[in-house]
Amino acid sequence: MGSVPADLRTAASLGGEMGSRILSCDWPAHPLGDPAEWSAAVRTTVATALACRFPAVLWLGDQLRLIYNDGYIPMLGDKHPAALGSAGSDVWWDIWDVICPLLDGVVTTGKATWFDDLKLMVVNDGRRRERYFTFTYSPIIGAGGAIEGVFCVVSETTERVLSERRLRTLSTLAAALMDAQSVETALDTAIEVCGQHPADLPFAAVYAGDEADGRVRLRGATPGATAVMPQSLASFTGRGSVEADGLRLVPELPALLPALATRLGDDCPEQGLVITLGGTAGAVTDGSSTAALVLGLSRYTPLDDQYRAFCRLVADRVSATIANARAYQGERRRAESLAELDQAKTTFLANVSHEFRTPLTLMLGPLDDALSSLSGDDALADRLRIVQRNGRRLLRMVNALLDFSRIEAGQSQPQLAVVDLGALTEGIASSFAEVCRIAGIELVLDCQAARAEADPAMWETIVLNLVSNAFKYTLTGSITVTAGPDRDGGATMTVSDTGTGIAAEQLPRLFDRFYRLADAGGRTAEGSGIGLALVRSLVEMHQGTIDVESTPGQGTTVRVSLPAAHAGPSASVADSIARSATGNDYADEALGWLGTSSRAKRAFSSRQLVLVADDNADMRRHLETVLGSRWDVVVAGDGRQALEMARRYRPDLLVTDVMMPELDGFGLIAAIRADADLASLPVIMLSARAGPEAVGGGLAAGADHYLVKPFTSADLISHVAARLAAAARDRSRPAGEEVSQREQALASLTADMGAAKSVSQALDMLLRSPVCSLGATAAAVGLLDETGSKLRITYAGDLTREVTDRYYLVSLSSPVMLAETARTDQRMVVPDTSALDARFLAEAADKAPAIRASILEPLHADDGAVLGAVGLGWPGPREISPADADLTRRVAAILARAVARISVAEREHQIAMSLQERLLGLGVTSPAAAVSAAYEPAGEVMRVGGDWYTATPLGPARVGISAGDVVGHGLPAATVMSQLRSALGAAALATDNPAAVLDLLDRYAQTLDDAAFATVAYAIIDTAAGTVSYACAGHPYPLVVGPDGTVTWLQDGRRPPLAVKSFAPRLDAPTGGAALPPGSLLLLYTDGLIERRSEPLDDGFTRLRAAAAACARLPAGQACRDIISQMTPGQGYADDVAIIAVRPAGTAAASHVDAMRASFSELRPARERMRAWLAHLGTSRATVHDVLLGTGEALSNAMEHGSDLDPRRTVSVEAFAAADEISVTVTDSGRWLKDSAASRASQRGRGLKLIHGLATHARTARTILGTQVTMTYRIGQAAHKEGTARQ
Amino acid sequence: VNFELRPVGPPAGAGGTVPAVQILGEVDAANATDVSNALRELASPTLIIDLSPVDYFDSAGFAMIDRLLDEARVAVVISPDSVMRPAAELVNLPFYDSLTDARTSMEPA
Repeated sequence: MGSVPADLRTAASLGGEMGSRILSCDWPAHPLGDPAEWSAAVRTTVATALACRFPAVLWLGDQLRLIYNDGYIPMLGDKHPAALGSAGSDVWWDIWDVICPLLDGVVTTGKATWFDDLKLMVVNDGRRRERYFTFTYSPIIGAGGAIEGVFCVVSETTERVLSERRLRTLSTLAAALMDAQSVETALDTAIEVCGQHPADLPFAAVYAGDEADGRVRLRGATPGATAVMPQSLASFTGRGSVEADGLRLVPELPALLPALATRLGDDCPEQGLVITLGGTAGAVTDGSSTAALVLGLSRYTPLDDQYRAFCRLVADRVSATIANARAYQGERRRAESLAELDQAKTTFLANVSHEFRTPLTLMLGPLDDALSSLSGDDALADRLRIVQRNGRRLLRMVNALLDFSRIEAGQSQPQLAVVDLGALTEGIASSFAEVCRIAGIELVLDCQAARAEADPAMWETIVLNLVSNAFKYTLTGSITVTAGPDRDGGATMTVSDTGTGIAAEQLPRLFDRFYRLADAGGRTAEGSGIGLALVRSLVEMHQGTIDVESTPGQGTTVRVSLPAAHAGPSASVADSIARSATGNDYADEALGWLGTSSRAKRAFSSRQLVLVADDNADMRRHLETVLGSRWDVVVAGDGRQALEMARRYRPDLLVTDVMMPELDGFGLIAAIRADADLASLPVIMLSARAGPEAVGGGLAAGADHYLVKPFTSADLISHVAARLAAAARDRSRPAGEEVSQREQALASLTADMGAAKSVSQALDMLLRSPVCSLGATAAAVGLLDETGSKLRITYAGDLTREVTDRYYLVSLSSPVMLAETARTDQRMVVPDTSALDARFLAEAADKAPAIRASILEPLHADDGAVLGAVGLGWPGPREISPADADLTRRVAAILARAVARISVAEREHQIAMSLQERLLGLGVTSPAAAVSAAYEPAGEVMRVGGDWYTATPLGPARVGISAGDVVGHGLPAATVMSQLRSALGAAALATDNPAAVLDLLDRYAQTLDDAAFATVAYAIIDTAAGTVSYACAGHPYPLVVGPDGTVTWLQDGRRPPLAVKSFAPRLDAPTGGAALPPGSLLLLYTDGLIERRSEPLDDGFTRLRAAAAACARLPAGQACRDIISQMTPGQGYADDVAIIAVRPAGTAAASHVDAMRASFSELRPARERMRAWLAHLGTSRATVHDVLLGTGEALSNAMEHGSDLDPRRTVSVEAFAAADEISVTVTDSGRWLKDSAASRASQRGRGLKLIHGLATHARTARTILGTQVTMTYRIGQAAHKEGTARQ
Repeated sequence: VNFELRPVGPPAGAGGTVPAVQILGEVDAANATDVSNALRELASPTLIIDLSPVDYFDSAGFAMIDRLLDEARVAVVISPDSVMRPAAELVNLPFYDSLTDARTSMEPA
């Protein structure tokens, strides 16, 4: 006991548990003997090991007995403490076969050795465990040079090795599953991969629902397990327990599956895990309805958190693949069923067309026979010819449909032959010569010989369709057809016209089947929409190309090019031409479109006159024949012609079609009802559109009766007779006529106003009804605002901007007639404004000469409360009769109902907008730039969205702006949006590096629940340096519009969207930079602006580039509004849109931008800056003065009314100079709340006069975000003005 | 203060006693009250104000002149070649073409 030497004693006293054990060991009785007799080398090494924190062990003596330190204890497990001093073969019996040769090697050779991650199957607690170790064996060399033992430093690497192995398995699995497009493949692949990694997955089996009966059965298993797995999952689910994480642990597998134990032998897992598949949350509770993965667990590895997570990840990966595969299969099924549907449609069209053709042919043949046997002027022959012509037209349309559906179905192949395309084209097109001559249109044929391969019959269809179409839309001028060889050896034909042209946005759809141009202004609105689609298909079958160029108002050119001809059979051109000359139905039909040359025959006739308006010549003839038996009839080919004829002939009744070129039926009726002389004309409307809505629409438009086609002749005659009789009754009571006209007009006004969407629209409707408005030229409605103390006034009709701006918001107590009317609840009748009470003279003077007489009526809600007042005005003094006053009272009642309804809708709109305004108001803005923004909610739905923008002032010369987009809509998105917006504002103040700002925002976003994938662009504008620095988190590129309209995308500074945890965080994300010279405009926007369904994003960028380029010289606010309106898709925005525009303060050659705090002391410095710019332009002294004065007045107004003289707010000036004019826009960020008229006696009243009076024109735009006043000074005119003033 | 009031003596031969003053520089919302106070001191009780040479004169200035016209016997002169003449005409400010015309009307012979 006492024989431990001092050196060891000291080391042992520091050596923790093992130190004590070594000290207390009875060494003299031990085979290793008294430590005092151990060699110095051994003693030193033992001391070293005891002092060492790494696991270390010494193997001493012949038996390689162990002496080890505390770090080594965990390696031994339950072998400690017996291992101390025991023989190696006793301690490590379980791995002795592996390590004994290694130790012997060191002892015999004296050479050290080492191992990385050596796998040793160690037995601990009676279980064999798969463990890995990295260690060295070094010899302990005694003083005499003998090897006295082996020293070993070791570390266990089991955790790392297993974790790497499992990661490899997972990535193999992910890679293998990547391409799985069906559930079958996904499951098979998963099993296959599991089978390749038996160390962690001794076996795996999948249970999934059967396609046939939905029962969950064994779907597959790894090779060793396939035959022995139970068919039903119930064998597993009936056992074990569900753990907290939803995994079911099944114990005692060998007992459960003895066959498995037989097959896998000693390696058979003792336990397994059952994991739900397919995203179904929760545990596997029964085997009937849930797909599941059963995994065997290695018996050599403990089921720790890591192993458990690995199993779950395997299952997750399989689940995700199944979900993807299901989605993919769903997509494919949808695509297939769409294709089937399309096929079915084509087949249907083919069948229907075919079925139509037979009876048509059977009708046309006998008809031709009958006609040939009748003399030309027979009345019956006339009627039969109408039948014949329309029968042929129907046949032609059916043929076109049939051709088209054959091509679609791939059943039609061109019979190609080498032809002279020039001669062929000329021959076909010349069949239009006669009809063009009649219509007074020049047909120019310029066709040269050109060899091409074509099917002559198909080519005829192509040419006839194109020429016929050109004829349809060319009312004057010429049609030019050219054909000839082109440079590539092929042939090209063009058909050009001087017709109405096609709007650019309609061009891409021109060749779509059933697409018809909207409002094309052609000779007829007839058409099937199949012709051009057919042409395109035919051209494509010839391997040719077709393209269109068109300028609205100037004409259209269609170009068809065919490739070079190969050698082939030639066709006789003469044959083809002969054929086409025989019966060109196209030219015949075109003949029918020609105008009626209005058969004027209002001779002295006792019969009443009926005017017929229809664009179909045959329908006109039919109606003329039917009605001509009882009345005189005049006919017109379109609405405009009908209106002229109505004014000229004063018919007793009008029969009109709905769809007509130039002016349609609704437009015609509106024009007639608005014409005092024609307003009482009875109108019968004819239309093919049936249904209560169409009928209601017709009646609401002012028709007296609506007849749905087809109708019988007797029907039509009886309705015309009834209407004429009613009109005659009205006329026979002359006194009553005016009354009935008024009643009718009031009824019609009521109907109109029911549809009015705004007060302004309601007023327009009132003014359009001269009967109801007593011919007033101006009208106004003042409505009490929220406070009930002011009237907000809406105007319509002839009033200057200055007046409508000045009397925009007036106090109820002010001396303004509308206010007086609303306040006293009394009608005011003013036959002559110059005779008014002195109180109102100021208003009268302001409104003269537009208003010299007026009637004002209070407006009442249903419960009698005053809503406001309405006023009508005339430009001259006017006698006002009691009957007039009675009418205005009734008009006021109608208007009040409309206004009350509109107010409710507007209030809802207001609530939504004010919420958005609260969320999005620019609020405090910057003196470094003109900043404007606009927000457009998705579609027509007023709801808050997740788009935002911000502007943060960062000192006198810098401002930070952002635009961002949170995924989703509604309150949750708005909440996240406002959190991010605030955080961004704070981050912007914390650092001036945009990338660092987004880093901070990203870190904040990680802490929010719903901020993932939010995108944002943030930019700092430095007006002193003329630069912008920026960063974009997954957001579309900001852009800069240069003063000359060049558009630059800011494509640097990219980083992933916010709070996306799967993306590696990039703290070194870059910042982008670009020049932002004075006069340029920086735009940030959200993706709703550019995205359209089923369109590549690039198209959106292209459209934005064009829209933005047009804004180079527009003020920022106008630019925002213009871009939003120009980019609006046909059916409105699908997503909400936010846009923010910044123009840095600064002066350039043709622009001057300034921003300042809302304080009068800023006026003079701003004026000096602008004066310097104007001086540089070389403008005359008088113009400089006028521009400065107008701008100064607008700035004073903006500071006082728009910004309440709050110095935290700013107002901005954007001025642009062109060769002949200077335009100046002053923008504020507030809503004018003060009475704009009451301060008339003070300077502000004169301000508006100076703003409007000195500029060539001035306009005011008010939005929820502020007011913009734009003044334009024509330089020439201003000079002229001063010239006259100074003489 | 960016305006200047410059007294104008009666032309030789005229025996006028009404003081006259030219306003030079700029008058706007920021200094209109100062200008007004200065003018009011000079108008005792009559004054001819020549606005012809001003560089800038906005609605606050016009309102100030308007009040002076109510309070005292004041006449305004704006020569035909003054830049502010169109503005004065727009807001209906009564004025004379020249100092002589103003004196003639204020000092009937």
